[in-house]
Amino acid sequence: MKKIFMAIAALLILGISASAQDGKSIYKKYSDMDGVEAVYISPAMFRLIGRIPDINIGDDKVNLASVIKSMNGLYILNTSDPKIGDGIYSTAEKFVKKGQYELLMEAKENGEATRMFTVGTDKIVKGFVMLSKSGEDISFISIDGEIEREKLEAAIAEAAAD
Amino acid sequence: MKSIEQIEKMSLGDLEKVSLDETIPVPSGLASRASGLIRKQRQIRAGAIGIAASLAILLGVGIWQNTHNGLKDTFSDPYLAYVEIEKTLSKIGNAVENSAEVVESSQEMIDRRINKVLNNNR
Repeated sequence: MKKIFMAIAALLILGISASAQDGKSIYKKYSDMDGVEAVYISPAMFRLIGRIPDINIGDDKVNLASVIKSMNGLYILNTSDPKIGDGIYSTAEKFVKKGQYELLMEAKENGEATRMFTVGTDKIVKGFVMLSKSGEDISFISIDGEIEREKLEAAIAEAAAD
Repeated sequence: MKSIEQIEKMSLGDLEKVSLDETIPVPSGLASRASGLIRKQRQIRAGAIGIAASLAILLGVGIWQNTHNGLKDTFSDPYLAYVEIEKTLSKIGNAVENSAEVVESSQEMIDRRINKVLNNNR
């Protein structure tokens, strides 16, 4: 009986720790460390941005308002500290693997490596992660939401063109 | 030997008198079997309480974590937050564009090599 109780307790603890790996938990783990630049935008802030009439979000070609309104959270971590950077990189890699993220794109050139992952359906992106490494600089971007894939792609293409 | 129904009708005082009466024969091993059963019941009860307690603790931790996000917005001004979002989308877009350029230059290299091979074969 004692062994069954211990086994159940261990499984529950493992379950909770596994489920705790997401963009938010990675951000929480590293954002307060020295040498880390962190940015967090909450669901409430996204809703607020969408309501402000003076902000000219997007243009005729791309409607950024609907993309921004469908985002739930934005987590950004940047660091040049090699030890912290390795920690962020490996934690993020485990996160995308466990979260069943699909590798969207990978590019390596002149010592720089960038990988992008998404999770969702053909039409809706529920999560987006970009992990880039340039020398000792590591950058982690995680976006949560229910974003229409076409609109997100258009928004990214438009932002790149600017 | 009394039946179960007779025993159930007896008062506590009568049951105590019977238990103290040493002239009444007791089957051998009854004491150890009875204490074994009691011990097993206590173990089952303790295990159930332990499982319920651990589930309650884990549920409490989960609820606490959900209600106490602990994260604070980096920007209190939505305009600044919007600028950061645009910067982020731009960074992502540039990464995609750089990758496209790598693909394009690779394609050009492949096309040049194919043309060279075709020219050599003429």
